[in-house]
Amino acid sequence: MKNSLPGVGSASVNPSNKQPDNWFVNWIHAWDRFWFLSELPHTLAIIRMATGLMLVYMHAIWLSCIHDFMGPHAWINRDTIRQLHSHDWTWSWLWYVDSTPWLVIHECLAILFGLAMAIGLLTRLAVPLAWWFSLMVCHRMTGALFGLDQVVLMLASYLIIARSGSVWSLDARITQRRGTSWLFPSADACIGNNIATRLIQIHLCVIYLFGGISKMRGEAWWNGSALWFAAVNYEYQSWDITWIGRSPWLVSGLTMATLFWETFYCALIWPRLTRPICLAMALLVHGGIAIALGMITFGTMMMVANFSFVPPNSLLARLGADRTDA
Amino acid sequence: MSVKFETTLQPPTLTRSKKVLISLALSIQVLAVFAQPFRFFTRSTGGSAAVTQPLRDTLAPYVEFGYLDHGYFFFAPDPGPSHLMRFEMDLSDGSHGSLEFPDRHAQWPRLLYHRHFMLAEFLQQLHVPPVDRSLAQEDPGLVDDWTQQRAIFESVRDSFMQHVANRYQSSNMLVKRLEHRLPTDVELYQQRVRLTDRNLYLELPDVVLAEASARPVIDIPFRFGRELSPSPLAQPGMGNAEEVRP
Repeated sequence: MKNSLPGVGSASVNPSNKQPDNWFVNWIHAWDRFWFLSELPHTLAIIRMATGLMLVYMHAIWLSCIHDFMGPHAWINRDTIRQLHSHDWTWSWLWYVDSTPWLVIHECLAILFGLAMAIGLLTRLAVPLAWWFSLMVCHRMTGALFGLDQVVLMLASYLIIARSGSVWSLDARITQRRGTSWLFPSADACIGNNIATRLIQIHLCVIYLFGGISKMRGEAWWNGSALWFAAVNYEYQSWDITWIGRSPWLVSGLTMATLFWETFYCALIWPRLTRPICLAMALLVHGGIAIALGMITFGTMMMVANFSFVPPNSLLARLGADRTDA
Repeated sequence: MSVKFETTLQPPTLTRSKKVLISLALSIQVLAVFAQPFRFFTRSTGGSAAVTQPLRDTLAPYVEFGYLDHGYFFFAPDPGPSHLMRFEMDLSDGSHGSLEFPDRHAQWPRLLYHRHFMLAEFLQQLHVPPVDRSLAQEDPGLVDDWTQQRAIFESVRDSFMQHVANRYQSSNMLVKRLEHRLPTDVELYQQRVRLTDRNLYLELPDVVLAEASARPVIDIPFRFGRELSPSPLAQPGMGNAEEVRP
């Protein structure tokens, strides 16, 4: 039976075609179908590559200005960062390191793990290490972070439980010669891939839901002027789109479209009929943020996260790849 | 393009106990993702909704250490003005200089610029005016809380100043917070005001409330996605820089 939910392709198996009438049992079956079907790793492999490359870039930027952000004379020095987090559960080993060589080694390792993640070398070790090193940096960099860090860490954390390195990777080449093992898993559809995909999808829905309903508190989003105020924000601006203000209907139309798309994304992304519209809107909105509002990194990673709603089978069909089911 | 993938159609083989355990872990993860924005969303001058507290407090270690404590209030509730920092200082050669952060021409690539931009927003978000000691007898609890928040702001501000002083070998430094007001379409099209017009940059005061031109009290302060106790110290537009800025 072909499941209508995204991320569950024809390689997945529905454990039961016969649905019991009991409401509670139906719930359990629905839960099972949602979380515990097998899934191919191809969509996650694309997300892995993009996330790994972005981690490399982010750490390269930190490394290029390591004295400004982590050293003894950093913008936020060690004492201040510890004071900022004195009443929470945040912790980073970088709170105790000021030595430039160690900081450089740390960032070089983080770049190395990000690179290994991108090319899929020892992926099962590289992904958790890339996530952990980035988490340590995030907890050191309070104040300099934004949505990019949130999305990249979110994706990296969920990729830990997937076998995203089993295809389109160096691991896959090694597996062809040496056979499968824990470190070099097969590219079979597996439950871990499905769970990782589901967690990314749900996390994305939560982001959009609260992003949408928080906008509904704002007057500018309701009177249709929000896009104007985003466009005239010089500090964000990377492409001058203030001409848009000459067409008030366009400003208010795009503002409203963004508001409703973001709020109802969590519902409209699941049905097959509305999913392409949701994803097309995501491309437009995040593409716009990337090009006009100077956040090409954040916009790109949000598009990458949306890619989790593209089922692997659709991806393979699009690529014209043959899949042999043993 | 033709690529061969050896994949196996594999029916789920998890035992019931494993499924229950994994389901429990998944439920906790989903709740953790939901808990922080939920509490952040329900905030008001009276604090957050009581129903959000137990969940968020229970999951606090996981949410905070796992970097899940975000509100996702991107450009919300309204797109607001940007904030910058201006450092005015005496340089080692005896001259006087000033620097503004962020500066898109000085900080490149764009991600590096955005990191500096967020630092300026962070300082603004942490700002509370100097403590009004005249309130100490009326409300000592308020003054304690106020003092604590002010100390955090000063600590971050001083750290910024030390960084700039070290970087530029300067002394006698002063840091100012600037707000870059967003122009209206009338200003832009009819009055031909440029986005970089200096009149759009307002210097924000750092004086005792009574001395300031009485800013209205409309919000409660938040830090790092975490709620502080309700206080009349916040100023319009205050929020978590990580939350309101994408």
